[in-house]
Formats: sequence, structure tokens, C-alpha cells
Amino acid sequence: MLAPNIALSFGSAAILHAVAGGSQFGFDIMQATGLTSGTVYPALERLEASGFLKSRWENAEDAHAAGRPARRYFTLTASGATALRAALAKYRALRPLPGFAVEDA
Amino acid sequence: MKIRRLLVLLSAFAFLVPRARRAEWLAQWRAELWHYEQWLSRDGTGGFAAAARLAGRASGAIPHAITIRILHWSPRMIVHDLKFAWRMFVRRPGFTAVAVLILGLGIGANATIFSWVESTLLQPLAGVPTQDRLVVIRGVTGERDNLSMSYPNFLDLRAGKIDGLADVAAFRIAAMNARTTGEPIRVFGELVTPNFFDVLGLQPVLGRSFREDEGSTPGRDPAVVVSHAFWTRTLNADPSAIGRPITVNGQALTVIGVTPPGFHGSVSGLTLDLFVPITLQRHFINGDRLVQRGNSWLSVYGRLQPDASFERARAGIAVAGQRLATAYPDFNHDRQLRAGTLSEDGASGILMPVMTTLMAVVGLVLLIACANLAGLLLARAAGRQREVAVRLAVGASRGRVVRQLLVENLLVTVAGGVAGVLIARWTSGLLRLFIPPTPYPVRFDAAVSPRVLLFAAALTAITAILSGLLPALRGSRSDVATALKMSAPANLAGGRARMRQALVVSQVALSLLLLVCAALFVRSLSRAQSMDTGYATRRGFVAAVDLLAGGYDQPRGTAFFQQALSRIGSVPGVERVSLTSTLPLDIGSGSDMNVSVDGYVPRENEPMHAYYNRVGPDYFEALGVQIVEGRGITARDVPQQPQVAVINETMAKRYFQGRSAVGGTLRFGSGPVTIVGVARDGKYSQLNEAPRNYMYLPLLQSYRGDALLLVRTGTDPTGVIAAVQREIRALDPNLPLFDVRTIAEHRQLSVFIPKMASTLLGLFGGLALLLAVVGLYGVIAYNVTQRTREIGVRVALGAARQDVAWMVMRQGLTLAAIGLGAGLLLAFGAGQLLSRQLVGVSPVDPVSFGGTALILLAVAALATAIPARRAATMDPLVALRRD
Repeated sequence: MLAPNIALSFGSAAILHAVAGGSQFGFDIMQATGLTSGTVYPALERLEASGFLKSRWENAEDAHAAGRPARRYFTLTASGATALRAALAKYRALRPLPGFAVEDA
Repeated sequence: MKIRRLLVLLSAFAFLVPRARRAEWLAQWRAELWHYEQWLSRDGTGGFAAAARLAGRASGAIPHAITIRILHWSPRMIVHDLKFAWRMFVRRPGFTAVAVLILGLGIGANATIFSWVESTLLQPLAGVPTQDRLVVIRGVTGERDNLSMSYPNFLDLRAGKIDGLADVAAFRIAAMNARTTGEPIRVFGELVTPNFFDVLGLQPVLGRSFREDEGSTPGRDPAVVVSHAFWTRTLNADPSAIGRPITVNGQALTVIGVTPPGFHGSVSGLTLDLFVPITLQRHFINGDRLVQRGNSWLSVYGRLQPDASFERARAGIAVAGQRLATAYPDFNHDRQLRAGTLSEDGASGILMPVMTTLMAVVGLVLLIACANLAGLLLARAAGRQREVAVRLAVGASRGRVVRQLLVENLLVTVAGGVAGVLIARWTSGLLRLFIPPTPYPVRFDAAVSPRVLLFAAALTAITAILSGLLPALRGSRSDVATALKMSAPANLAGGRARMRQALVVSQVALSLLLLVCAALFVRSLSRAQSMDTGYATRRGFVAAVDLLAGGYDQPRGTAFFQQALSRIGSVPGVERVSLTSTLPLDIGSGSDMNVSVDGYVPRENEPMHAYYNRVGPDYFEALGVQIVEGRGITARDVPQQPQVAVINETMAKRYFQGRSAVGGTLRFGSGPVTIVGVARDGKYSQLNEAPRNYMYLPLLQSYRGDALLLVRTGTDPTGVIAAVQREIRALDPNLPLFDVRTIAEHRQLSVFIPKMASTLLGLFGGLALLLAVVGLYGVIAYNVTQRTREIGVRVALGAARQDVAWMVMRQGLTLAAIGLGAGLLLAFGAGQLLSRQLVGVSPVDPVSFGGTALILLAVAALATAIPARRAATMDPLVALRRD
């Protein structure tokens, strides 16, 4: 497992931030971060290889029942959470701003 | 169904993903595109827009696939491969050393030549930023290219604004006499327009550059910007030198700035030190050129506008040329302007053919090195068959084995690349020996730069793949069952052996090609050295003086020349002394002009021009040129006398067709010129030139302040040079004598190209031959080892020993002969390409072709004789007992 003090790029931090905020699969993460597919998907692979994320495939029957293809869900690991905390301390742009409360759609 | 089509497209890239993860990768993208499509349709986007956005999103699958692949390789596997490769690397020091040496030589040769090409062609103007945004503007007429521009034309060009160009600047190289304290020195500089440094994009490191109004009024603004090198060398790097005057060509010029250290002027390949406003022209170059529209003497560079392309500027320049032609039809009627690049300019233009040839040659050497290494690897793969079979048997994929073999080879080639760079560091300095001796300050700074390192690294990678891929693919295709059975590998090695043979054949062919070219140039060199150039004098020297730079006008200059000739003529040891503008066969000795001959009617479209030289009294005697009719130029041919000329035999024959040319009349420029003599033909510009029209004009009648003193001596000239220098100093202590060289040194200049070519080609050809022969030896020796048992049986059954030896040798000689045939064909083609560089040798010269082929066959026979001998002296009992 890599040391959590490894510096995350802003893009990676934004992706961890989105996963922690409940966006758990590729499309959702792109919607949440506004990053392109060519950035998000490779970054997800790297973050998983670094042990910051883990992934599992959605049950095929559940997906079929919902009438859509199965999703690959990503969740934060413990070291991912540590890395995200360090990144949030560094990237002030990812912190909530007073007066800019965001409501969930 | 757009998604399905996109997924089919994506599956074409599935090979990028490791097999185990392909299905997952595709499923992820199926989900992604499905969600996106849903989202788009909810958003109301449909049709083409939706398809385009889906495709855009799907493009992310490719970086995704590459990322998975890279992570799959992951450090552990790479480290494992490297560790194993390192063990193989050190376990066979012999193989490793040979391979590294072969590659080091191949890559080193390439890096060396590339370092030179890089410094002269790719960065033609040292120290000039973004020089790819500079455009060269040249004049073109119906029959001539690369023409200079007159100052009035330049002013109109600049005032008229050219589409695509931000600004244009003009300059002209000029030799200068500079004096700060002590002895006067000879330096080279440039006359420049005030915006010169702005167009080049340069800021002085000290002081300032010219203001826009400095150098627009003739005769004013005596200022000079000096190079960093001049400032360090002559002004002792003293910051307070700014604002102080230095004497240049007798004028006191105020030093206003120092250029950045890496900058050496705007002429590629030269080192220029002083930059003077163009309006001071009168003191630096003869004539009153600032007002003559018909006098073209300036080079012009333009800088592209930030948003403009080269093509746009090209069109703009052509339009501007049209404008000039329309505005001043008297001077410019058939003159156009064209845009060129820096790399065709200056010294790089002359060196281009030399460099392309050299790059081709070293490329061939590297190809041979690759073939050689591939041969070695194939031989080694044969020895590792069992290891590979075991790996495959325990479940390694073929790709895994190929990768392992490639990583091993990569390690060897990287070591070879490092060796090559070390070799290049040393040899790029040696290239200096090949700089032609010229009176100009040629700059040479080929060094192993970052770009050269990058080049070497790229070569290393290409070499690793080129030499390693085939052997790796072959080596990994192992029939497990047979290989593990241990014996009889001969049939398995069949394909591999054929490939090694093919490699040897190609090496022999390529090395023969290089050797034949080398032989052609060696023959060329010997012809050139013994060639009758038309000049008999062998002992003597020349030395240059520049009276214009010394502040002389024409009457004083004429008097100086006359006094100097008479004083030098009485120096002991001097047999004859004269003056000349250029020496025949000097670099850049080839001015010509249009002439007409009274009584000769040119055929339609017949070009009527003649090359010419300005010479002093006694020139023909001093240089040993025979006068076949009439007289030479004498001391009586002065401005007050009628204009005369001496022409050569070619010109006399061409225009007087059997009649005597003496007494005939020529016309060029102003007034009639009477022919007073005919001189024997000679070689004027190049040893292999066709006979050309040539005229000698009296230097004292058509005066020029810069001239060479030509001194013929009875004995070795070195003792006389100092005495002549004393005589000149006695006449004028401020006038430097420069560019002193003996006639013998000058004669070496004319054989410079064949000499350089034969040396380098001989060197590389020898190297290639060595590699090819080692390769040939390896194949035959290996074959003998493989056939030990068979040979043993033959000998035991009573085969004569010489038959066995011949059997082995025949195989080697067959390979050599096939390579020889192919090589001769290649060399035949190369000879045609080189024919313009050859002197007195046919491009299909039988001696070069036959001699080289014989040498190669002899060496090949020697290389095969060793294994043949071993086969013949084999003890059948030992051979048969072998496994």
C-alpha cells in the first residue's frame, strides 16, 4: 500500500472527492467533476492500482431488472480517505465555501 | 443503434488491453455510453450532435486501455525482466562486449555525424531564438537564383510592407580592420540595417542595439555593436567599454552594445564580430552602394508575423517582388523575389550534399551493425532453445517470452547507446579536421547536445527493435516436445540458419557498397593530385591586403600596389610577384558576367557569359600560366591606357572559331575592351568542371582595394613571408597582412572533398567489412559445430580432408558471392549518384569495382578458411562420440 502522503493531482483529488460524495461509477463521476472520459477512466485505474479506490461489479440480475447495463462501482478505501483528507487540506478549491451551499438535485 | 457501432469500433483497440481484462474494459464502456446516451436524449440532444458527442466520449477508451496495459506491466514484472536480463548480460561477458562494441560503433558514428548536422542545418544561426520563424528573401531571374538585393530596392521593400512578415532586415558580411590598442587585427563583421537585432529577436546583454534612426542617413551614426567574443577577447570584458570608441577601417566607432554570448552573426556557419550601421558602407565595401538600385549586395531576412504561416509569407514576398519589378522596370524587369529557409543559406548550403552523403553512410553502418547483432542473437537463441521450451512448457505465453528476449536485447542496446555517445563525444571534435581551410571565420561547434542525446536514444530504441524482434520471434517459436528431447536441434534451426545467412549476405552487400564508394573517391583523389590544373607554380605563397579597410581611395591604392610590387620584387628569394582578386580553385572563386564579342552573333538563347578574375602585372609568370598567343597583363596596363583583357583558349575557340582572338573586341559594362592575349585553359572553380569561358582583367584598370599578393619563390616560401611582411609594414604600419598561405597549402584545398570523402568512406567501409566478415565467420563456424557429427561420419567413411574443407568453404564463399553480386548492383546505383563529386574517374570504374570485389572475396575466404580447417582436422572418433 502506498503512503497516503503521496501528492494527488487536482484531477485525482476531484475524483476521490466525487466518489466520497456518492458518485460511484464512471458516468456519475464525470458528471460530478466535469472531467473528460479520457481523464476519468485512466485515473480510476491508477487510483485503484494505488489502493485509494476499490471496485466491484454490480450484480448482473439487478442491473437487468433496472433495464440498464451493469455498472462498475468504485468505493473509497481507508488510505483513499486519508489521501483525500490531505488533498482537501491542499486544494482549497475543493472546500465548501460559506454562502455557496449546494443543494442536491 | 449508435452504441453498438461504437463498441464494434472500440473492440478494434481491445488488443491494447491485457487479455484477462478485455471483457471488463468493454463492459465498462458499454455502461458508460448507455448512460451518456440516456442523458443526452433526456437533454433533447439527438441526431448528428448526439453521435458526435458519444464518439467523443468513447475516445476516452483508448487512454483507458493504455493505462490498464501499463499498470498491468507494473513495476514488479519489469523489474523481474530487467533482473533476469542483467544476469544474462553479465553471464556472457564475451557476447555482451562484442554486441556493445558493435552497437557503440554504429550509434557513435551516427551521433557524431548528427551532432554536426544538428549544429549547422537544424540550428543554422547559433544564439538566434525561434529561427524557424525567419524567412530568407532572395532574388531570382530567368536563369539565376539566390541573388542579393540592392539598398534602394530593400528600402522600397520594407516601406511597402509584405503580407505575412512583421519586418525585414538587410545585412552584408564585410572584412574589417579593427584596432583598439596595439597591432591592427583582421576581423569579420556585418553591415546591418538598424532593425537587424529586432528582426533576429535579440537583446544585447550589455548596452543597447541600434535605434531606428541610427543608420538611416548615409555617413552618420558611427556606432558599433560587438559580439560577446570580441568584447571578451579584445575589450577585456570591460563593462566600461560601452561608450568608448574603437577604430574600425580607420573610422572611430562608438561601442554601444554587446550581443549575447551564443550569437555569432546572421551568416550560418561563420563567426562574425562587429555589427556596423549599413549607412557607413563606403568605408567597408567599395562603391557608393546606398544609392545604386542596380547594385545588389545585401542579404535580406524577414520575420513572420506571429499568426502568419510560411506559405502566406511566400505569397506576400512574390507579390512584393512583382511590385518592385513594375515600379523599376529598368533594373528589376525580369527579377522576382522568392522565400527561402535558413538551412539553404550560408555554409550549410555548401555542406548540405556532404552531410546528406555522410548521414546515408553512417545510416548504412548502423544497418550493418543491426544485421550483425541480429545474427549474434539468432546464434544465441539456438543455444537457449531448451530454456525457452521449458518456459513455454510451464505455461509462459509466447508474448511473455518475446518480451523477456526484447528486454534482454534492450539492455544490450542501451549499453551500446551509452558507448556510442561516449565515442561521439570524442569523435565529434575530430570532425574539425574536415573543415575546409578558407579565409572566412568558419565556426565549428559540433558537440553532443541534448538533441544529439535524444537522437542517440531514438536510434538505440530502433536498433533494439530492429535487431531484436526477429530473433525474439524466432526464438520463442519453439516446438516444445522436440526441443526438450535434447538432441538433433539441426532441423529446428533450419529457418533460423537461413535467416542468419540472409543477414550475412546483406552485410556483405552493404559493406561492399561502402567500400566501392571509398575506392571511387580514393581513385578520384589520386587523379586530382596528379591532374594538370593549368598552373605550374608550386613554390610560393599568397597574402591578402585590404586597402579599402585601410582607408585608401583608388589613386592612393593604385600607388600603394605599384610600390608594394616593386619593393617585394627585390626581396631576396622572390622570383615573381603579382596581384590577384582570387586564386583559381579557391572556395567561392567564380564570379561571372555577361559579355558580347564583336563579330560573333550568338545563336538563339545562347548564354553569353564569362568568368573573370582581376590580376596584376606578371600574374601569368607568377602562377605559371602559359600564354599561348599575344601577351599577358603588364605594368603598362594602367587606367590611363586603353582597356585590355586576356582570355582563355576555350573562349578564344568558341568566339573566334579559327581566327586569332588577339586584337578582337569584348564588351561588358562600359566601353570596348581589346583582347591582347590568350592563356592556356585551366581549372578555375572545381577540378571536375567543364571547360568554361574565362577572362583576366588588369587589376589596376578595374581597381579593387582588396587583393591577394601572389609571390613565387625559388625555394621554400616560409623564410620569405616575414621579409614581405616587413616591406608592407614599411609602407603602412596600420595595414594588416592576413590569410597568408603557401601555394602548396592552397593546392590541398582543391582536393579537399575527395580527400574527406575517401577518408571517411574508407574508415566506415573498413568498419563495415570487419563487421560483415565477423558475421560470416560466425555463421560458418556455427555451422561446422552443428554438423560435427555429420562431418565425423563423412571422414570416418573416407572423405578426403580437403574435400571436407572445401565443402565448408564453399558454403561461406557462396554466401559472400551472393552478397557481392547484390553489393555490386547497389554500388552501381550509388556511383551514378556520386558521379558529380568524382574527378577523372568513371562512376563504373572497373578498377574500383573489381579491386574491391577481389579484396572482399579474399577476406571472406580467410574468414571461412578457419572453420574449414577445423572441420578438416576433426578427429572422427571424437566427433562421433559427441552428443
